[in-house]
Amino acid sequence: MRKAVNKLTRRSFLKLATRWISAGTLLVTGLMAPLRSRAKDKALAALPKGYKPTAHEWCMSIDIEKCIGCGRCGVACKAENDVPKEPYFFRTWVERYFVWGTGKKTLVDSPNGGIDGFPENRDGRGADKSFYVPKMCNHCEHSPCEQVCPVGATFRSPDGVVLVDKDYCIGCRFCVQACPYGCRFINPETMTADKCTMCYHRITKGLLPACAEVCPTGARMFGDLKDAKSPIHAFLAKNKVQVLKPHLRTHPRVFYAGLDKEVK
Amino acid sequence: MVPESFGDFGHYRGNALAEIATHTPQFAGRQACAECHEEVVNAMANATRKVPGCETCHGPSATHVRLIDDEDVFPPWDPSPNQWCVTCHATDPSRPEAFPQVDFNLHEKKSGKTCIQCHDPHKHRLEKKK
Repeated sequence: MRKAVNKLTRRSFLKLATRWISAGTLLVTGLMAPLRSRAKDKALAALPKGYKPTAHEWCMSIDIEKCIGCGRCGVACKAENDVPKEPYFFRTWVERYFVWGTGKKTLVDSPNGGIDGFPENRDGRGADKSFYVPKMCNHCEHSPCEQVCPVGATFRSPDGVVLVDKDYCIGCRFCVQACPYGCRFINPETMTADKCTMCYHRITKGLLPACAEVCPTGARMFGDLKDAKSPIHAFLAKNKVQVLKPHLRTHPRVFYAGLDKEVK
Repeated sequence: MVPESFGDFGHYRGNALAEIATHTPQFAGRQACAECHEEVVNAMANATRKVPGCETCHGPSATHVRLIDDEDVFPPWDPSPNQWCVTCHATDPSRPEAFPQVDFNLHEKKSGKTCIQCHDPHKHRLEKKK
């Protein structure tokens, strides 16, 4: 009779190999886990004291019925974030709409992003309705700009803000084309993609974003969806809110109340 | 090849969060104003115009707050000599109808005074300045 105890058959080899491999994998992942979390803690510790990105879900609401088109938001944004002073670079801007009839003719203008105010537009005379719409990055939950970034320089932070890592951005402009809201531009000084950060340096310190801070009528409201005390909940509950281009399913985090169908 | 902190939170550099957060604020926020200018902030809170922050009219004042102990205090912008009220209160058909608007040329011509000679910008809009 053959003794099969010490002989390495295919079956016993596979058995042994499976055990060793799974044990090895568990050991390595077990050893790596504290290293990983330590790295994460380091990244968190560099943030302003006591700020936990996972504890927030920032969003903004804009009440069209309150916007007076003073353009203070655009001015404040430029001052706060060192946005290039030359025209046509904006992280936030205001648009003026003129609509005739049920949308048979629509005229949109935004002279210098509205930061110098809106001079009378003769072409808009006789419009049936006219209103101002502040625009900014929508901080989409499924942001197209994030999806097209080839290097992972654009990302959505744990607190729901779409940001650009300018040290990592290669300035390929994919994101500028991908954004359906036209919220991105290439900063002529750094030659990297630039956009609204929802004033990340302010909100992490407990301040309001600059645009919401200076808005004289309270048309812009900033809030935290994860904070039950945030006034944003009452706003979203009491108003009929809409987002821009909902058919694109980007799930924006900028909510508009009183939005007209002509606003794109 | 993989940069430090890449993948800590997702497919990006985790340290980028803190780097973006290091930018210095230019606007101090109204709580900072209330620390010294309590009476003005309280007057504003009791007025009908509760919403405008101090820096809406006075401009970014974080430097003013930072250098407050300095002798050479950077003063916030004084809007009074300018026609500042026009920015928001000029008649504009695109503005919401409920928002108080006035034709400044007519109004000033009629009264012969500037806005703040009668209206106190820190108080109720109908309250006349003493």
